[in-house]
Amino acid sequence: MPVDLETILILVPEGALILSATALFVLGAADRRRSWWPVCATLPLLFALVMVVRDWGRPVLYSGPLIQDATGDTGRLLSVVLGLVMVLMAWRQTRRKLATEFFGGLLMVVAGLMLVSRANDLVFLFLGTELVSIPTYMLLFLGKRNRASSEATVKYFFLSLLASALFLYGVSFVYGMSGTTLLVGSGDLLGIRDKLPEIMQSQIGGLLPLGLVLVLAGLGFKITAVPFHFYAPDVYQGTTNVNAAFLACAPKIAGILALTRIVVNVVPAEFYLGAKLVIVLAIVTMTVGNVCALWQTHVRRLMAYSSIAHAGYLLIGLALGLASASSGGLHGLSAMLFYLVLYVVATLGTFGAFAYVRSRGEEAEHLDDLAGLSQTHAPIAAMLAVCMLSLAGIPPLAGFWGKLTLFSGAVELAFDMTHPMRGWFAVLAVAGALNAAIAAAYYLRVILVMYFKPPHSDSPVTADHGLQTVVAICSVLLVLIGADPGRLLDAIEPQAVRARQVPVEPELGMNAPDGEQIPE
Amino acid sequence: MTLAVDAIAWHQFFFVMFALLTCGFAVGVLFSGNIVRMAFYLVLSLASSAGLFFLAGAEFVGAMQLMIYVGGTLVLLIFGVMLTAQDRFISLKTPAGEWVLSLIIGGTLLALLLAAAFRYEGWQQAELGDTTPTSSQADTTARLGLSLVGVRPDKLDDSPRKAGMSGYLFPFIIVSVHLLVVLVGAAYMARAKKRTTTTAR
Repeated sequence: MPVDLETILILVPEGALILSATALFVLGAADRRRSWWPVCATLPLLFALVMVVRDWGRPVLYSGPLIQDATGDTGRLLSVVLGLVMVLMAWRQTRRKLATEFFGGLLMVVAGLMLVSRANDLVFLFLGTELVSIPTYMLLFLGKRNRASSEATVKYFFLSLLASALFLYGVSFVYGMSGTTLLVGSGDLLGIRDKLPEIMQSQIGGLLPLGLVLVLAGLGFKITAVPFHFYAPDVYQGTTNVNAAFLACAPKIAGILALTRIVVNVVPAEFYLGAKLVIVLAIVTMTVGNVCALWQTHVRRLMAYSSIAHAGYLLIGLALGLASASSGGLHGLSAMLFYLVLYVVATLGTFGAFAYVRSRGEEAEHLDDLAGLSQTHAPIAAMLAVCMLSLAGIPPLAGFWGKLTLFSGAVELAFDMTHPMRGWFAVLAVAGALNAAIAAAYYLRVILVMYFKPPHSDSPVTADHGLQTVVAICSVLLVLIGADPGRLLDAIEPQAVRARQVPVEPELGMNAPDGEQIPE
Repeated sequence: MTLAVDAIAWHQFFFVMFALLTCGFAVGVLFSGNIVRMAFYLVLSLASSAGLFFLAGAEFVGAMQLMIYVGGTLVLLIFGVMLTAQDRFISLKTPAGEWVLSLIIGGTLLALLLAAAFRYEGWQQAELGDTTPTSSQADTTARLGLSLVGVRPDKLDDSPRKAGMSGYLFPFIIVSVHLLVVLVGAAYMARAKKRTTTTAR
């Protein structure tokens, strides 16, 4: 019995990416020069970009394990753009001998991210996140080979396996209670979401929160939330700047997209236990990330703690989504996706600039390597400053609007007199504001070093136009989004709402006989 | 005339036996300090849980448990440990702090699971019905294989729209892609190791 043709058709870009990655792996072995492989990696990505843009805004379509909706569109576009930017960054930075393996793995990761953003099935969700993780181990290993990076890779490998096991354990609870892995059903096929009222009333419904907490723990590793964060600084420090950029973005996109899917579909409406847990996680994650970042002198370690802190901000959106699920407001989740896009853009720009700067023939490692960058290479320094200011959330830039949408969501709930968790959100909003102030200190320190310290080496950069382009694109994007944040926010906002509201209609219409059975 | 043998509920007997073995050896892993013994206890515990799967009629899962977990752990842990372990790694001492932490986490999970399990009514009345799986449930291997190539024998009667979506062909393909990446990565690591040893020479 064949799978529906429409399911295959909406998977064309993913299929193209996986096929070209396989071709890169296989054919790369035959060619020793390996000089034109980046082009071969760019072509399928461009094809996928065209397909994704063409599919943009199509009506919501549930096709068994896959869903075509706007959250998925956003995720797919972000993944393909991430892939293109990473190819550009790695073009000259990867050793020729390893080029096919690196680019093949990169294409696999992009395909995995696209699968996650489309997944309507727990099996697909898991396989998609693993298609992000497994090539990541390889990419980390390909980046650099010394003691520190081997240790970092092994550490990442084992902890990531543990996280996957936690995620699977949680998924097995959810599956055991619902009897299906499908998130949202279509037609007469019931999904977890359709069975949720039934599960909550059943005797073992009490296990659902436990399953969800385990899922959160597994995905918390991917987004470096605090109890699972400790690998990040070591791993970032041990690898190259390009790999660190990749590591700061790809798993985070996968984790946030998977969380969005699960929160929208599987979480019961009054899941305040989960919301409280996420609020505590968010506050601890922000604070640990920001406070530890204050005294880092290694650039990648600094950015690792910065990415931990940003995971905390992203969790604010998750808490909003969990607490306001009953009122139907998905403001929090769309704010989270908005913030994710801004974070990815700024982080890619920052690591691109770090990879561009050289000191004594090596990659930039310490903050001092950036000293006097404004005098030796003013454009890069200015663009890096834009990325830093955006990450810090200084007003005219994009990062400010990201923080504003998140914090205003929390403040809104804090002043909502009828909301049972208003006290929690008041604390969350205050903690977020305090953290934004702490964070500004270390981002500004980077700028301080670039602009007010004298340079100590003559020409501390590589002549890599790919990196220059990446940094330029990212900083220009940050300024443009900062000037007109509404456009991007609008592109994300109604989509998230659509994701929740549209499936309700066919469900009610077509499942009338089933709907009568549920209350019994 | 009934034999004494028939009076014993063999299914329940084996269930209790395998369950006790599984839990007992798991506790053995926990309290043993010697890494080789821990590995051996782990193998026994996993093998007993394979017995539980067989009893439940999930013969395929049971066989996989034996092949992958028992076989894999046996080869990996016993031989890996025996060949590589230095003296200081043979016996492990767990610090008190880690005991407390893991007891809190593990204990919480155990308490939650037990609470949820005993809330289920079937658990509260300790009534031993006939839980022996019927033979129609037992041919799981063929059905699993068919599901992996996209056919669900148990759902053939469903409406075509529902039936077409129920196979696991796509996940199967994605898993094979995972395997390809793992193979490429493993090949690279093995090759790189050879190179470092030749340069060391």
